[in-house]
Amino acid sequence: MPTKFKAGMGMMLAAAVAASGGGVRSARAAVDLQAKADEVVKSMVAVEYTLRNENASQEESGLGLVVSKDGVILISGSLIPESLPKEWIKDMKVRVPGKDFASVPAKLLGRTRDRLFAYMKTTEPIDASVFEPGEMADVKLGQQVFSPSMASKNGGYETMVGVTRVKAMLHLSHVIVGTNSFGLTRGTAPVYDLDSGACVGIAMPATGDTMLMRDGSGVRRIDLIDEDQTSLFLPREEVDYLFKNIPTKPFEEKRAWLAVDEVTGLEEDVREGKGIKQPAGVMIGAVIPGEAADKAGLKPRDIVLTIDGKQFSKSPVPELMVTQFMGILDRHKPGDTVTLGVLRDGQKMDIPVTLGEFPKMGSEMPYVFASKVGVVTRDLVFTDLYARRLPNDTKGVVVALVKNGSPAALGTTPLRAGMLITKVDDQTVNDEKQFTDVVDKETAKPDLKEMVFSVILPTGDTQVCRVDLTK
Amino acid sequence: MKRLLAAMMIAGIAGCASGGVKRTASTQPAMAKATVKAHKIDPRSIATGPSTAVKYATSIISPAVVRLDVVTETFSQGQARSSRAIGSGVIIDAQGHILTNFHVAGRAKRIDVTLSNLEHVRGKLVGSDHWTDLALVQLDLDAMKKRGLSFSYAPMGNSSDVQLGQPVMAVGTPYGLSRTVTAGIVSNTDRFFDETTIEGYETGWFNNWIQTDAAINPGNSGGPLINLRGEVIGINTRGVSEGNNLGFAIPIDTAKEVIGKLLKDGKVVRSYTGITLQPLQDLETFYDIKADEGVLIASVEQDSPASRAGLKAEDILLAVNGIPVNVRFPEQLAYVRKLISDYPVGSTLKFTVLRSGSSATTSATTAATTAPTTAAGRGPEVTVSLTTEKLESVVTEEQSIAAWGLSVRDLTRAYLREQRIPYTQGVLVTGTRPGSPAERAQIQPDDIILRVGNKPVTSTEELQAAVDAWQKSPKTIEVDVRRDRGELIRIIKPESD
Repeated sequence: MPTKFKAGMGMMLAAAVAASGGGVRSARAAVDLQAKADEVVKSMVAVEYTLRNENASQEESGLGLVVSKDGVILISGSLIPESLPKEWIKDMKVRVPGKDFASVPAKLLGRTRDRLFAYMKTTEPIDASVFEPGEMADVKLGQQVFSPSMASKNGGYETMVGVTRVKAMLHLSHVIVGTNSFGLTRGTAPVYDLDSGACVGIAMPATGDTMLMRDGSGVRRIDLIDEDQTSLFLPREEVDYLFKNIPTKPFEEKRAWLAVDEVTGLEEDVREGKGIKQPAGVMIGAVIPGEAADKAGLKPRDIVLTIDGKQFSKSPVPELMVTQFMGILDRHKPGDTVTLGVLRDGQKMDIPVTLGEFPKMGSEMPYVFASKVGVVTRDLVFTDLYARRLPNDTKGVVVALVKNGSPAALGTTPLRAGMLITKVDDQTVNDEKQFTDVVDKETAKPDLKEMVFSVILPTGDTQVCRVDLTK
Repeated sequence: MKRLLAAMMIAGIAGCASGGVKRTASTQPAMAKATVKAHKIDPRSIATGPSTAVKYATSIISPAVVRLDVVTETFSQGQARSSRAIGSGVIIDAQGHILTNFHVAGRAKRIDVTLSNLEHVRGKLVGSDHWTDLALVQLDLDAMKKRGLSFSYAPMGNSSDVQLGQPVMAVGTPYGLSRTVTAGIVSNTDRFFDETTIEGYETGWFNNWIQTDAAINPGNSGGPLINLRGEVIGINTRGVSEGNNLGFAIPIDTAKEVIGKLLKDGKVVRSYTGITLQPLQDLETFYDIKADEGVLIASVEQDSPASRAGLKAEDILLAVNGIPVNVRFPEQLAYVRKLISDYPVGSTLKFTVLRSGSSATTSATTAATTAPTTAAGRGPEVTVSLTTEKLESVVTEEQSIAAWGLSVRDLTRAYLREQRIPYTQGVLVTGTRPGSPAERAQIQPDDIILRVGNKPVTSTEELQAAVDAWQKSPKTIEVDVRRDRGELIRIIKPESD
């Protein structure tokens, strides 16, 4: 069972140590940190919920920033993981420190397109100040910044502040600022310039030496190897939008999709070999049949040199050009048209592409546990079929997990994670709902001895798996 | 998990033996009738006791057992290298034919035979069959005549009447120790292994194995397993790397068929239909069939004779050309696979299948109304005709394209099917030499070279020709490759750059 719920707040003490002992001796704050912290925490709430299923129950908590008078709260997207079945999330609420930690029920409104943030809303207005970032400022390397925050539940929701120095600007699909040590402690805490007191960004959840970044081609891991651990924040240009269109109703942000695959950065050899003048570009390896790029006439081996007339910036790491390209696409909405300047067989051409909608990832689909069989399944998504090179009209559910020692795990032909189930006891299951219905109906039979699953293996071959329910 | 190893000994650096060979096949219906035939024991062994019987049997076989020192070309990082291996073999006829394993001599560039009298003679490869892991080598009889050398050949037994517990001996060259005899009993007459590969070549689809506790070590490969009459009943082929006294021999009946074909054509040609079979044990209730009928067609390959004939996954195959088939246990798989593959390529076969449950009702001809059931139930019997194709291997021989530092092989349909790559013409890269033009262009193993300088390459010969042409006046040239799902442009530059 996926009992690995994210805890996340373990580094609070370390952060306190770093802030008092590490590298900030020269800090002579022009800003009164105590006053600023006292002011900012008035806009902070503790977000709490219980993760509960038949096997486990766990309390989760995190930080929320109150962004509107009617109780809209900004949280980190990872505070409530998307793959958690909605029915496992119980008792979602916020606690307002300024009001003796009174708890008010709350609901998720939706997630931002890049999934880094989410908005939630309380069922009634709460007595907290609304956070205003004010005029936001840019950051520079070496600049000293601080971040007021509120400790976790274990830390008694005490006010805290981290002071640190900007050590890197990472130009990934988002611009991300890396800072020394765990000076910034908690996701969605605002970050300020130590001299002017201007807001410069919003902290991301602490991640240690690596971070997971999601871009157009999925989730990628970025190493931030260093003697110190790194904390991160998103600068002004990345978070401006958060405060501009604060939602009031549940919403769903769709991501744009070019529908290409195997995109590589333009290597120097290829650039020279092809006599390309532009400093950078990306090569399209494959176009997904029937989707946006294909419809627009993009072809494998097309080299994209401009997007809406703008060139890419050169990087010695070709992969970063891809990240840049995907980052630009990610700022668009489905239905937007972008014009790609393409080199094909020595000919330059402009190809307008109307972007499609990004298909859901497996991790966004709710997981469902069939306890009598011992199998966790979820709905099929496009990438499941694409990865297995199966036809687009394939229907079924994905086996996400098989519980050790369960009927599904035993027997001569056990079910295994990664299989696609297409039939249960000879009844076609097109999706998770049908699967659940059939399994519920079958397992309700008093004298049921076996269940037979028709599956597609990760190799694409099919097989029949028998689950013995008498043991 | 146990690891089965080809019992071949590799000398020299080029490691290859480890390719954990597992797998097999049989020539008789595995679970067939239990007619027990008394094993005939040589009267002398009864008269004089078992130790004399062992001495008698080994005296018969020993002059026919040889050591094989084999030089094989292996490829590593884009370069061909010679590697030496030691194995065993047994001379089987007056023409000096030596039976051994494919994994010992099947890809040999040079074979040195050491006879039982320690004389060295050159041998040449007559043919091989990786599917059964067998190869046939012939002694250089002219050279032997000139040197006045003679040889003996072994009497052939039958593996069909091998019995559990029967005393057997293995003769061979374990760890290079020539003329080693070990003794034991038949531990199992019908051992099943999943199919596997030897350096990419599929093996073990068409036979089961004789298991023995006579010591089988690396280097025993290709040597005979004999009975008390000194007759060859199997070819020692595998052991279990972490086991003791677990050796496996290819039944001599399997070998006899292969020998006949290798002598005639130098190869064994088999039929391919594109179905994967699954035993039916425990699924009888679900499909409403008898315990001893049919085999489940687990999977049907796309674009195969079976898919074109309309066979579907979960059809139950009852008969092939009227011959009933029955796979309740994995031990019976090899028999049915062999039955089908033995038909000449291009044969039209009649497959009688039961079309079960929902797949039966989806066919246009049946308009049965179905209430949802817990079982598929017995479906209608359908006969389909399919025309077989030639069974081909996923891999082909590697070759080097030295000027670019590439090792490559021709693409096969079987490879494309296995990788689920849509039909593509090109040349598969298996390795690149560090610092070579190919490696500097970041061409990688598993890339498929599609075009060189915008001209399609469809075979290793065409690629070699293109590279030869390039070598006359080396210059920067574009090479298009297919990698994973996409296509990439690579730039080959002259080495001097």
